[in-house]
Amino acid sequence: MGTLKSRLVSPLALGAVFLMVACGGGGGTTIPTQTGPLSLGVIAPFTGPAAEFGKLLSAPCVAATDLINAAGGISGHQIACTSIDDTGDAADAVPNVTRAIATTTNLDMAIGLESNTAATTVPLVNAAKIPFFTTNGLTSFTKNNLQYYYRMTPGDDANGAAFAVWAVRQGYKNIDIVFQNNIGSEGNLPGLNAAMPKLGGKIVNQYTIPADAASYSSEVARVIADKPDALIWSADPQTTATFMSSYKQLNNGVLPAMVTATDSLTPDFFNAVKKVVGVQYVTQSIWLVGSYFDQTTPAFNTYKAALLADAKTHDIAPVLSTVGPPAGAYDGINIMALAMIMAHSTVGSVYNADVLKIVLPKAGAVVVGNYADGKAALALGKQIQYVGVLGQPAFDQYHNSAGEFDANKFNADGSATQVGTISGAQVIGLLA
Amino acid sequence: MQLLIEAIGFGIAAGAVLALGAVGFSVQFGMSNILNITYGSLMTLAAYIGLFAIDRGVNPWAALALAGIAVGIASVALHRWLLAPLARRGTRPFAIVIVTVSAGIVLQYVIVAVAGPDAQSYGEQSGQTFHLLGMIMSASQVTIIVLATVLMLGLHLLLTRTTLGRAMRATSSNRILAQSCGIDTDLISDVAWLISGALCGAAGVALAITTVSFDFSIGPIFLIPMIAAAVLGGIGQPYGAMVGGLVVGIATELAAAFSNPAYSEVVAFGILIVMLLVRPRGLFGAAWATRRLMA
Amino acid sequence: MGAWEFYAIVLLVYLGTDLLAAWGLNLEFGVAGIANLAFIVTIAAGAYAYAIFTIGPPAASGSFQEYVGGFNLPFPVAIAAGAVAGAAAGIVIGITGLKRLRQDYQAMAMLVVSLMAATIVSADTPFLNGNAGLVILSTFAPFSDQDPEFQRWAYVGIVLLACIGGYFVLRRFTTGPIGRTLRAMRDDELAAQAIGKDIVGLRLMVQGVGGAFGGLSGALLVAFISGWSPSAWAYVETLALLTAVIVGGMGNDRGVSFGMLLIGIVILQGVQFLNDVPVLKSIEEQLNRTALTQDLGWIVLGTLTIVFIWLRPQGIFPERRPKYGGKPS
Repeated sequence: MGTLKSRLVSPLALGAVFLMVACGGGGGTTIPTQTGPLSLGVIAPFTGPAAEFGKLLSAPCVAATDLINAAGGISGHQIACTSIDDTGDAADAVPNVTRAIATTTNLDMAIGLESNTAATTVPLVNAAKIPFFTTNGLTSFTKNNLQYYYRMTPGDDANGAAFAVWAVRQGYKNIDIVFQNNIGSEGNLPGLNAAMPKLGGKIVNQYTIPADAASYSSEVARVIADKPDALIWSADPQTTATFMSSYKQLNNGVLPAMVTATDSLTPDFFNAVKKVVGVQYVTQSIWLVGSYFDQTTPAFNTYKAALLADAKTHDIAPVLSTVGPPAGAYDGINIMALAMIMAHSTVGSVYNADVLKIVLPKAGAVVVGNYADGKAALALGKQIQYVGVLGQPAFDQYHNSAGEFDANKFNADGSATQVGTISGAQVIGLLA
Repeated sequence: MQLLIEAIGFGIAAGAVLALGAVGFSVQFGMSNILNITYGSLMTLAAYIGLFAIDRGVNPWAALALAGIAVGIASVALHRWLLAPLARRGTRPFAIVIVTVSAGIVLQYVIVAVAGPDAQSYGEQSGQTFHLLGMIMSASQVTIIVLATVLMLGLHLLLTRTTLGRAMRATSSNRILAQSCGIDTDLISDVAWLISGALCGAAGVALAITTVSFDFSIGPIFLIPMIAAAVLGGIGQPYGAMVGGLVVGIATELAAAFSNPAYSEVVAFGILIVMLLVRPRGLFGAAWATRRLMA
Repeated sequence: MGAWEFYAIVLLVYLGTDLLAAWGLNLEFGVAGIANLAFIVTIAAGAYAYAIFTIGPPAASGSFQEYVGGFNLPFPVAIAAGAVAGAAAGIVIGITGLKRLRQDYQAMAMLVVSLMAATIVSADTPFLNGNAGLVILSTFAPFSDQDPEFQRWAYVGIVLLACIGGYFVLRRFTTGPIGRTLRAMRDDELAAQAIGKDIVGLRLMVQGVGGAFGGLSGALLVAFISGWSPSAWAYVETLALLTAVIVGGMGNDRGVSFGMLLIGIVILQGVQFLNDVPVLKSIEEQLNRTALTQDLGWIVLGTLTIVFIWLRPQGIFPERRPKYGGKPS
């Protein structure tokens, strides 16, 4: 079933579609060249409970397309972002995505396809031969046989193992896992369970709490009784604030350290928790673990500058630029754009073969960190190697590149600072 | 053992907030025979009115009174100009429920459009922590329990000892008969909605104080446990709603303390279903109210 | 296969499965008067049942998802399992509604059942893989040895067959003696009982049959889209459908269809169109609130529903009362 809002099947719509198909608007064979501006699909929830992801994932698209267009476009084509609302509902997403694929002119690349709907949207985009860089963390894609799929962010299980590594490294041997019941946390658990014992740490207890409850007092009492060194935590801002406020009251003002994902690196989380337990706890005792990338490279600076320059992304730029998945999407867009130039074609089925070639290290290649440099080097007939915001990608046979991990802390103004790194190889090794 | 006593204490605190809301809901249904789903969004409205006031330096308890008055007036308006005319025209009850759901949606998204979707808070309001008989409560939780008790008592006295209260009970029980006794049933209805709306507003602010951090969905989320409490206690019975609130609150906290916390909200759902199936009149429900619930 | 062709196929499949679901719900709500706000649970039951009947055991695909079952049975068996699961879910939901409660309280009870089911499924990961839901990895099942284009159109054919068969079954329950009995039960349960109708049996039968329609709808849908998760069965879905039925007019196919068209078109066209209004766009950017037009969309939906019910409480196309006149036969 679907909400009437997003998915009406009316005779009128069907009639229009049949006219298109009958009058040859379908087009069975791929056209080798395309004219006009190119479209970059951002497949994410723009409505529904997860609507904020749409906003967050639009930002890297804005930055990348601004830079690409400023550098003269791709082979003479300008490129624009197209929002494709997947509504956060796996069933409703299908008609929206298929409609977008049918109606959007020159839809040759895509980003997004987040965890709630990836199960149904990923096969669609892949079948339409549109290369895409996804930001979902589902373990179901750790092994796959999708040709057009690429992922530069780690799976949820890898994130879980990274939490464990950081917690033990900080000296937190006994931990309690407190997760809100959602899809990402569910994926973290197997990684945590696998990694903690191998690192010599102990999971005292694991709790799944309901979202947005009025009171977590009983759950808090149970956690206090476990006497954990720290909590490995995942919950939305209100739930976190309510829980921590209860904890403070029941534990004589003493709060445990918290290791959580960089998904919580948002102004909403920062403000909600700060308002309730004070800025000192937020800046001193919360560790945010996620994808690592060097924030001093020219590639990063270009990315951040582009985010700051555009009015649509200016306000969220300081925080957003430090988070992995959007940066991965940005890199993916550049990689796909450069592959288009290399293949002399903007059509997905043609340039897909060059996507991996862009990032492979090769002798004599010019290392580039942004689109403009890459375009210039290719114009001079050189080979290039793209090393972008997330650094050197290392795609395995399944087109997954987990990358490195880092830990961050909040600053008093709500931005974050990196405080340590965790080796990607170690994390993957713990999962085996 | 200690966890058990603590959980009961938490349940009492949570139950007091539920009781505030449940009583208002119960009075509304008793008076007008309408399942008013807008009640949830009205609680949200109260929470945000409270936020508006507190951000400008108003004392939280004064803000609670303010929100109560505001929501009381809004409830009267809702009933007088939307629900009562529909009922008079013979609209089926289920269609009226759809109307209240729609009105709730409109109100909720107006709030989001104005105030934004981010989490809000009144800041640290709990005050001192008390240890009573092994239970741990904050000053604001104790205040809410006292407030709820006082309001229940006041309402009970109003209903049983005053002319107004007698008129309200008469109108609830049999409108036509009350009219023939010379009671201005329209005015009495307005008064009932004003009072129950005020309780709704108070519940919304109390909820925001207890839960510390909230957003625009806070009202509808708590509506079901409140309805569970109202049905458990018996529709139309203020004392019943208090008992219902306590039972639902304590049962939820016990579930959170001794089983998988993810299921704790299922407890409130379960209580509601069981009551509707087994004894719709609730523990203390009046017979006339029960007749309304049956087809 | 061209993108427009595939979109047409998607629309057709969704139309077919939507129709099956709408018929089931109309049977329960329109004809028999049962406000089943838990209807979505029967669809979800059908979808999950199809999934666990058709995929192999968890370990076979690397244990990346946990679930019960995994019987690896062929397509027709799994679809049948979906319909049966829907019927079973419908009957269980029906048991919770057996008490002769007023329609709106009954509706609330069923809504709560639906919330409970959603909470339990998403919290209990080993049961149906919790929040992540189930992914059907095997290649698209029926006719998998044929080329994809034929396969997809053949699937449209399967859905069409299901609809035709479903329609005939539906007519047996909405017209004729059974239909009249159900309408009698809806309009005056006491009177129906007084003349000897077995109300309990009737209600359970209706919920079973309606649930079977829902389960079949869910199974056919999930076989096509290859995935299903709790995100796909929020209770607002049924609420939206029931709103459409109330606004359009209960108990008759024209009213139901019109209601779906009206609410759907008004929302689909009107609200998407809001996105392009320049004044709104600039306000949105000023306040930095990207979802403002969506919020407005909800406000418009709610307001229009209230307006329609206010203007026509009995629905745009009220049910035509049969006229009994002329000479007795």
